[in-house]
Amino acid sequence: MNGRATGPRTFARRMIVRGVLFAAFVGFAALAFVTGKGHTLLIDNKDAEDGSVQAIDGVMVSVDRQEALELYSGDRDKAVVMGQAHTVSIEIIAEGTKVRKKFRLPIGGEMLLLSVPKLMAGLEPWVSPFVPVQVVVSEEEGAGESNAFTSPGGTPQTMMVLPGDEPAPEPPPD
Amino acid sequence: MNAKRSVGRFFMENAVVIIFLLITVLAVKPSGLSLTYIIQEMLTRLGRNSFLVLALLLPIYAGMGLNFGMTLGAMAGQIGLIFAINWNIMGVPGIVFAALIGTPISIFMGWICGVVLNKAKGREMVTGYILAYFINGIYQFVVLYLMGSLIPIRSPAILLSRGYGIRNTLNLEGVRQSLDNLLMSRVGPFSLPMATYLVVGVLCLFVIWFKKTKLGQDMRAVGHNMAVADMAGIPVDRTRIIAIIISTVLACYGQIIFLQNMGNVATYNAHDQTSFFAVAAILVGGASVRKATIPNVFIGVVLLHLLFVVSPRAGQNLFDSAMIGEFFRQFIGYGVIALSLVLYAWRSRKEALRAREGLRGISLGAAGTTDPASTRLRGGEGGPAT
Repeated sequence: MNGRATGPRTFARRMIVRGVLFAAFVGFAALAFVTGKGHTLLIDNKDAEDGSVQAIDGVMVSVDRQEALELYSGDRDKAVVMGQAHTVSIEIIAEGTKVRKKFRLPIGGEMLLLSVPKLMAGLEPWVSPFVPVQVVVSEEEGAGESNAFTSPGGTPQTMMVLPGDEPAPEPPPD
Repeated sequence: MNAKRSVGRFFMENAVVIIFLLITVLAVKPSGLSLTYIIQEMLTRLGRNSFLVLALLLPIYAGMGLNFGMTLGAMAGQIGLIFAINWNIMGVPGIVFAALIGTPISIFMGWICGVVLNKAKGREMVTGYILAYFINGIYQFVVLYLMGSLIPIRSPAILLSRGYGIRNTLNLEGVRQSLDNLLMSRVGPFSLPMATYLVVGVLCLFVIWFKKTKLGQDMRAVGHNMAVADMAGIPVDRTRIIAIIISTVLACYGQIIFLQNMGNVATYNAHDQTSFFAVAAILVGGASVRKATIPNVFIGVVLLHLLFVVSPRAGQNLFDSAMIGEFFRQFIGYGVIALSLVLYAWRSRKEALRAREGLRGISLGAAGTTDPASTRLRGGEGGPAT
């Protein structure tokens, strides 16, 4: 006796229950992914590269209900946000002008740039993906990772010394 | 004479709790810590650790002893958290996501554990302990070699500089104390993580409800005597596997709750001591290998962690070395488990002897002979797990 009922109806019912459970599992995972996805939002207050807009000297920017960031001309700060739908509130300190905008972030975007001058000027897109500059280390700069500098003709150093690759012990002095 | 015997019996039955309580109370004064600080620490640690300790209850009901295999669930929880960090899922959704990733892994691990423990009936605890070491090797292989090479990891922040393998320590900034802070309330000088307490409370209700279900009753029957349960038509092996699976899944969730409170995870050894401290806590709370209740869990967590908080400071103040306190902490942890198991074995032997004597008296009185078959049945398969 294994304690389990058999038969086509029981089998079908069991399959339905398992299917529903699996669907619920996938649904919950997707929901958690969408609502919990974190994004780094760079709040940028710089002149546009094409010169179309100028940086604003003195603005208070707050994303959602986070603490307001005080930015002056040429400043950039960051806010970490969760989910896709957000609200940004901007206040120009000198004029007292307040702007409040709602926006959505793409789910795949890890790091995005929000341009305050573009937003204030009404230029789209004021939120764009940000790609960090990749620093390419030249061969000369990476020379420190080998022992060629201290040992002419030396080999690059490895992170680990594998068994059998240990340096041979020095012969004892006579 | 009877009163003296009952007092003695009370002390014997609660020896571990009494000894522990005495040591802890004696250490409070030399520690020099304020009562407010100690109470706040206890409140925090109750939320952090209770879920893990509650995960031990079901295998005890099923007669499988203390589930040292819960480490497997802890590993599954850590894998879930690694993926949550990898995809940068934050806050409570990050915890839920980690739990969802960890659930199928822990179910699978629990099934493996249950099958293995069914092959080692009567030696579940030591088998679970060694099995945890074995699965730890596989975990290390997956996390150290497969993640980043075979399993895609997109976040360079968690990868080792060589391009594959996960870093030794991961910062859980995204999910750090997100469950605790969800419903944090202040009562006087104390902060109470109500959301965490709520989760623990729901688990307590689940345990109470589960005990009343058909499966829960089956588990108790199996725990009481496997042979009788089998004869009554209860699928013993399947029931035991389910008990271990549920315990492993709960350990997975418990480890996630524990780590979100800590705020970081030691990738390769955070799970090592999980079962050890959970087992120590439930034993300190007055549970035994065959009997445990929900109050045992909370008493144990408070007492064990009270000692953990006060002993290093007491050691520092008394001996001018914090290391003494740390040593004391380790010594007490292992000592409690050893003492509890020794007392349990001693009591079991004494009870078996008493039962045998009683049986012999009845048998001799009735027929003038001993009944070896009934003696075997009493001390048979339902015996203690080791």
